[in-house]
Amino acid sequence: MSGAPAERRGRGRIAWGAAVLRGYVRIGFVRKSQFRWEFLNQVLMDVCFYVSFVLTFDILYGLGADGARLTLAGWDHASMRVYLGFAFVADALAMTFLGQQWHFGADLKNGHLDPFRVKPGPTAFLYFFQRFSPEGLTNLVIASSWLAYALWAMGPGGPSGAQWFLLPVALTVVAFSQVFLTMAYNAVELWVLNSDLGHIASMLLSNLGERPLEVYPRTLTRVLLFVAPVGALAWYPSSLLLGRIDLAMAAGYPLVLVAFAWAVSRIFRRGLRNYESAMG
Amino acid sequence: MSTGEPGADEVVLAARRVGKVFKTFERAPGVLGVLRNFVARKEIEVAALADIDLVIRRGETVGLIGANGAGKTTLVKILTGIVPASSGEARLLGRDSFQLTDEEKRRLALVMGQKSQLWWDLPPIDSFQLLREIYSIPEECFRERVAAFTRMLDVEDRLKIQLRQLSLGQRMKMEIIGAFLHDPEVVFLDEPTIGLDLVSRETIRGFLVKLAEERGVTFVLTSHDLEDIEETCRRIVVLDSGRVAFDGDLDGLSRRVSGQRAVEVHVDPGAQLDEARLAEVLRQHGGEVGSRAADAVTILVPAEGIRGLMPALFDALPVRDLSVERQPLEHLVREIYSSSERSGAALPRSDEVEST
Amino acid sequence: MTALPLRVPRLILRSAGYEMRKRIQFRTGFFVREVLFGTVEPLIMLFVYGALYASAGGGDVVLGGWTFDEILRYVAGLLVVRKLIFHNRGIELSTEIFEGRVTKYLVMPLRYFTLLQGRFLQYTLLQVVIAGLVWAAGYGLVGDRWLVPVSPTAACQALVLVLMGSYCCFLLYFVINALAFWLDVVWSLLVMSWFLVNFTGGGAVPVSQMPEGLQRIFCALFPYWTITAPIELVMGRLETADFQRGVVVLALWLLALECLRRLVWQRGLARYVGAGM
Ligand SMILES: Nc1ncnc2c1ncn2[C@@H]1O[C@H](COP(=O)(O)OP(=O)(O)OP(=O)(O)O)[C@@H](O)[C@H]1O
Ligand SMILES: [Mg+2]
Repeated sequence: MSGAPAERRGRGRIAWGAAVLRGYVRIGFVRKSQFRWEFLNQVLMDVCFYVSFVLTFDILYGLGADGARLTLAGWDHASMRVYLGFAFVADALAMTFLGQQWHFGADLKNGHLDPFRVKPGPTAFLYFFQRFSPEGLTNLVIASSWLAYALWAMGPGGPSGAQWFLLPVALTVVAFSQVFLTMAYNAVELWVLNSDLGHIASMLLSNLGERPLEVYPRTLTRVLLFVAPVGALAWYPSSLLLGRIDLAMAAGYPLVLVAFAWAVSRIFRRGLRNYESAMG
Repeated sequence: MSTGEPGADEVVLAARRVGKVFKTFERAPGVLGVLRNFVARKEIEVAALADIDLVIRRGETVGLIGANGAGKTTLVKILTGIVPASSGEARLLGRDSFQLTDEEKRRLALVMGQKSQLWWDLPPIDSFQLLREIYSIPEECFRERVAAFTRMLDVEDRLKIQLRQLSLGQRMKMEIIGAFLHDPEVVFLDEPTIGLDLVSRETIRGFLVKLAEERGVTFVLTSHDLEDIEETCRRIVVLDSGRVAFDGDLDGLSRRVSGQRAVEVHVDPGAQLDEARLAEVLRQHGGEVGSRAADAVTILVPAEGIRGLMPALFDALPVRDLSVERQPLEHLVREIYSSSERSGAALPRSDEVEST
Repeated sequence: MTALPLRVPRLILRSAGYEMRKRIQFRTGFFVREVLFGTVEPLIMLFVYGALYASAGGGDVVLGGWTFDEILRYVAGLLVVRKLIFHNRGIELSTEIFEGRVTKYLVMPLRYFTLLQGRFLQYTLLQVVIAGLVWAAGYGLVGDRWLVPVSPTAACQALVLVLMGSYCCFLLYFVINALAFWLDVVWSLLVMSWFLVNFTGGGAVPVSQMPEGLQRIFCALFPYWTITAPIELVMGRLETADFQRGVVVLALWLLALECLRRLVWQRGLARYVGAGM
């Protein structure tokens, strides 16, 4: 009857996703034309966050001013700036596209997942991307500028050809893993409703990932690389660009991330069985 | 109409022994209670549905009714795949409801009176645009449908106002438009008329009836307003405490419980009633006096007897005014509830399981 | 009306009891939040410092006036102190303003602020116990490498500073929450203020390890006297004279913030009632 084939003709899944995402971005802007103060506040907040990080490491590396050349497990000040650059970009990406995650617990409790369950398309995709944030985008610009600055400050002449080639790859990895990490944190909420566990896991793990993973004990480093791979957000991309990892790791790690993404999708989908909805 | 035209009696929706059990924790009151909850919580199982069997074919319009807490919403949520059934099997468009693919979801729509599927801080038109992307609706169809539906529901001038600034009725109409934009084959409406005024309700009913006729939409409607059901649905399913207490067409329902009509006769003021003749007429046509007032008498009569009774009444009494009413559905439903209680169909409400 | 003086403390106690109940209602959340909150960041900081000192040669290197051993004890102190500082989750004023629920307090025989003070008291009492437990657990685990107060007096002085500072935070959060009378959204301001308090107080790097210029500025702010200073008192790096200076600085801040609070609350409320909410 309905759904005449013409309506769906020639639309691949990717094209569909892009169209929906575009729709979400559009309503993000429509929505934001109203709260101007909030916009400023949130941008300021993230700038504060960036500055406190940059300043902290400036102070720490500055402690070596009287002679000692300080590093953090091999990361000198200049490479640390790049590391922070990726950490900021990862954070801003989440802010921009995945802001809805902070409401997931409450939405589960109040049964607000219902409309997304009956719509075509993956529930998680429709749900998590629905709150595009223009202020996040502003922060993304700021964070990217910092990353660019850090890369240029690495040496005379700016990034090498290889780095130019690897940068988009690295950013893709960051975006990809940020999406599935977000899903992973929130999947926890599906299993242990009302616990805030997902929220806390998210804050905790991203916090850990914002420092070079080598400073932690070996086991913890492995966990952060292979179990809850926050290493994909800053550690892997900066190590890749700065040539700090061997070829096997450089090529193999994305596979780990794909496996992680697959597992998370499975777990999330399974967790939806625990959704009880509410009201009605 | 889609390719490979399915038969008119294609089964759209089938539930087989569907049951649903919710687990909740009991919160003990007071400080001590809180501490106790902290260590060991009492788990309670609430059986919301049990052994629901239901088959709905293409084009059917089904009214789902039942008292508060009977399980209507839960059943709708299971059938649409929002929550899984705890037991039994629910199938929609030939697939397990909880495993619907995008293909089936595109043919499905859900309207919930209690919840908004549109974005509350956006004007409806923006939400519709988004739905257009999600359901991949072609631009021309989209524009046509928005125009036609807003005209039918009389909300053309409200498209650009934020949803939260609309009145309840306007919002509900927008929800309904949003649900029909992608031209779904099966539509579930859970209390779409809750809190609406008479005019809005009638507009919505008219809209549903028209779409059901023109496009052959199959829909399942729940409402506490039986008039909604009467006007829009041909088949009725009554849920009582999580079980199907009645399933059949509307007329069948009337017949099953009672085929009575109530005839209210007003006579000229002060006129003397010929009691003997009245008794004679009633005897002939199988009626009886239901109640009497100063210058009026209400006669109850089986529906078949009504044809003969009317002329006889005019002959026998100084009739000034007369009205015939079907026994309202409300009474019938109440009778169904009480009869199913008598037969002990009600579920045991909960069993308690101690857990640590 | 003679009962009034008695009634206020009783009301504060009762609201404290109610808050307590609310807090332990969701058990998993409670454990995770209370145990992890404020624990992870100091630990991460310790790892970072470990790597930094190792790269400088390890052993007894002194960086910015601090040896690694001292940093270790500083982090221990941080773990305890962070448990004591009031955080903004305790005030829901901005939500109440948004939802128009503030007017109901105007008809109560008790000022809204008193209610929040009850909350502060409850929080502080519970957190002093928790901080004690954290300290004891740490001491049990690592013994003398843990932060052991040089004297009971120092410990008491430190506690006084932390609690005064915590009250400053409480007032600050109240003021920011009350900005909701004018602004649509204040949570980002709250988060930002926590960043600032944490950073200027020494939550990421001890203030006395920072460059001279920053030190001089931060010493005039209350967060320094709430975080770094008390820990250094306990470690014996600061003395009674510093404590006295801290009390004066904090008292001035308390006064200023209290004035600000009154101003903002009165102005805001006038606006609120004026708008007919
Ligand atoms: N998420 C849930 N958790 C626990 N119990 C639930 C849940 N949802 C529904 N129930 C219980 O299941 C039963 C059926 O609820 P349901 O919402 O389906 O009733 P309903 O027929 O829609 O009622 P109403 O007419 O009031 O909307 C009720 O006893 C309700 O308390
Ligand atoms: Mg219901």
